Amino acid sequence: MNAIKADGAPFIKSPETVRAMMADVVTAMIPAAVWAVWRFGAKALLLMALSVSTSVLCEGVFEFIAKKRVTVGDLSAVVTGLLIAFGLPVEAPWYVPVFASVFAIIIVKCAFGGLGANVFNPALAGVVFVRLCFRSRLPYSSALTALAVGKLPEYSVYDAAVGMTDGAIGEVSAMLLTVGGLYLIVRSVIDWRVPVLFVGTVAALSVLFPQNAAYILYELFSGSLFLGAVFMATDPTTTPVTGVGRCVFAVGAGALTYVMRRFGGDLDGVAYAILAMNMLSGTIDRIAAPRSMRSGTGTEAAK
Amino acid sequence: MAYAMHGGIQYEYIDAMRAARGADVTDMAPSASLVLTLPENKRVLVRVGDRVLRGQVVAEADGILLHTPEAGFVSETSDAVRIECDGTDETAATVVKTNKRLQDCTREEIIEKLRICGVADSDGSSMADRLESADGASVLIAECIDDIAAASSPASIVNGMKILMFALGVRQGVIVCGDDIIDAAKKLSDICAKSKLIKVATVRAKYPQADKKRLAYAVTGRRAANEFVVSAQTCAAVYDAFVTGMPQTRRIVSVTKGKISKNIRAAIGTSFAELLKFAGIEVGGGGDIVEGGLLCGHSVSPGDSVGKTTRSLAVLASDNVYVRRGADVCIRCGRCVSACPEKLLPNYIVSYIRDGKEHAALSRGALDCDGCGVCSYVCPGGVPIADIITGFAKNHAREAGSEAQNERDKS
Repeated sequence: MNAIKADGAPFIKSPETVRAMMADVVTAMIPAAVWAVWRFGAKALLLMALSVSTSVLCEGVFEFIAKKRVTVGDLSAVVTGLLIAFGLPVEAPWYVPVFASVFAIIIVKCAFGGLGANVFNPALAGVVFVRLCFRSRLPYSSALTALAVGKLPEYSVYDAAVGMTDGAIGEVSAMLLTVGGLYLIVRSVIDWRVPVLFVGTVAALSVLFPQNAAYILYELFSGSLFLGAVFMATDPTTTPVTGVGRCVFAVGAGALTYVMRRFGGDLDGVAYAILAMNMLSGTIDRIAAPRSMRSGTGTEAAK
Repeated sequence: MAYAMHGGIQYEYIDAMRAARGADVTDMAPSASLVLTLPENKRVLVRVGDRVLRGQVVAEADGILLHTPEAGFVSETSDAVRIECDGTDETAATVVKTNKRLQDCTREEIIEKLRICGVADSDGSSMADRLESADGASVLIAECIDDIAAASSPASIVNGMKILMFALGVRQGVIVCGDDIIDAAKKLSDICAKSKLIKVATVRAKYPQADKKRLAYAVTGRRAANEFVVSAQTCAAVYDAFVTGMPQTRRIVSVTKGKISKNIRAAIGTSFAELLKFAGIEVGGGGDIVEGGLLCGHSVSPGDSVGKTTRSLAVLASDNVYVRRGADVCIRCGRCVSACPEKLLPNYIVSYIRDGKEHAALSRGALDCDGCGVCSYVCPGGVPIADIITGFAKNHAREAGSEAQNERDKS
């Protein structure tokens, strides 16, 4: 069945590789990472180092034991590790990023068949896993904490946008995450519609059904909305492949985020919203598939 | 203006594609010995030692007559007819000019003329057969996306179209030009200005816009299949055959290596080695000459020769050859989806094929794939997508064929 010729077309290929894409993602995360260290100190750097090294090690060891091609060189484990650290508060004990990384790489990624075959975003699943396991060790406070009890945060909206706030180390600066997102859009690594529609949907719902008009901008700039919209909802593997499908995904994740923030038990619904939409990616692709240019000769042949 | 195609790759991204565009055409004198390659389905009409004259029929291959471009002696007739040219100028008596005006000809006369002259379409099928079986075509489309023939003989293209339109009984003709060969498009529209029936349309120069389905869509905006699509170079060959009676014995071939490109009008049977030498392009080790485009063509050897469908030769420079490095992973990035001109979901089709889910692959339109190779080109995971899908389609066709044969045997 696999009629792969040893040699043949294409004789040339675009310089694009998975490694190059992932390197671009890492580059796009640098501003937010630097901000995390500046704002939260060396502990933030330690968290990042722990989760990145654990992720890379887990992937390499798993593939070595499973006698598969070792693919740590594609840098996807580095991205996963960084994203895990981004989702943790600076108070997290050292073992939390380690647990999160092991779970993300071994259970969520490798057990499903490795890069490209996993259903859930490994970093998100890893962060949610440790949040559920070690909630008492992971204090979380952001503007959302204050809003939840009906108060305005002590800092201005401007501070919230720039990142002079509390929260998980990589999520606080909506501005620097946006810079990273713009870089990824310019490099055509991500589809611009996804972050725009994701944040746009949350914004539109917040404006249409406001909890309190004064809260709206805080709600947008706090929590992991920008982190999720720029880096998680644009993960190639766990989101739809068609343009229309991606738009559906982004709007769905935005709507779920709003609902979970408003009515859910947890402060921030971004992670759960994206994980829930991850499950639907395949289905969305099936429904949103473009029609072939020809009038379905393939379909007829299949009968 | 024309309808834009979906996906594809812009020519400016690829040196070899960009270089081949809009260059002048140089005539190459026939070499001392010409090799007319024959397919398996053939009937050789000459014997070793025979003297043949320019334009004389030497074989019938796949239902198309094959003529010798030059006078000389036949030295081989097994897999190919080899002619040692003697440099004389003697033309076969069968090469006769048409003295009638087009309006006084019948459709049958035109078809017969094209049959005698062995005019082949760009896919190698007989033009005469295509005209005979064409039914209810409403528009004739001449593809001039990256056809350098336009630069040399725009009048022949337009006149060839008129002949085809007359034979088809079609009242509308469209020449589709790439938007980066403006000079050629301008020349063509100047000529067409006199005739009300033929128009020139320009489209964004992209690969694979020259594909027949893409052209039909560009002109009509529909998927319907009542267009008659030919290449501009074929139109010119039709005109030459009709007026001069000279069979199709020359091809314009674009020869590229990296950023160097030459367009050469060579006799059919010219070996690739001679053609490349004439173009001043050096060939490295063996197996690095590609015929038919870098994305979907195939390797040829220097000893192979120009045939009726040869259109481009590319010599790979060692620094830009793509070598599969074993990486073969789909990360579902969707690049193939946005690049597929047929609007398929190549990544899903490949995963169905690899999982042995034949039905799912077919219902996803695996057989609609034209094998243009854009998906394989853009894939960051290095998956040979087009290869897998066209390989599957071929297997499927073969199995369907043998099944049909079994059914017939039973009954």
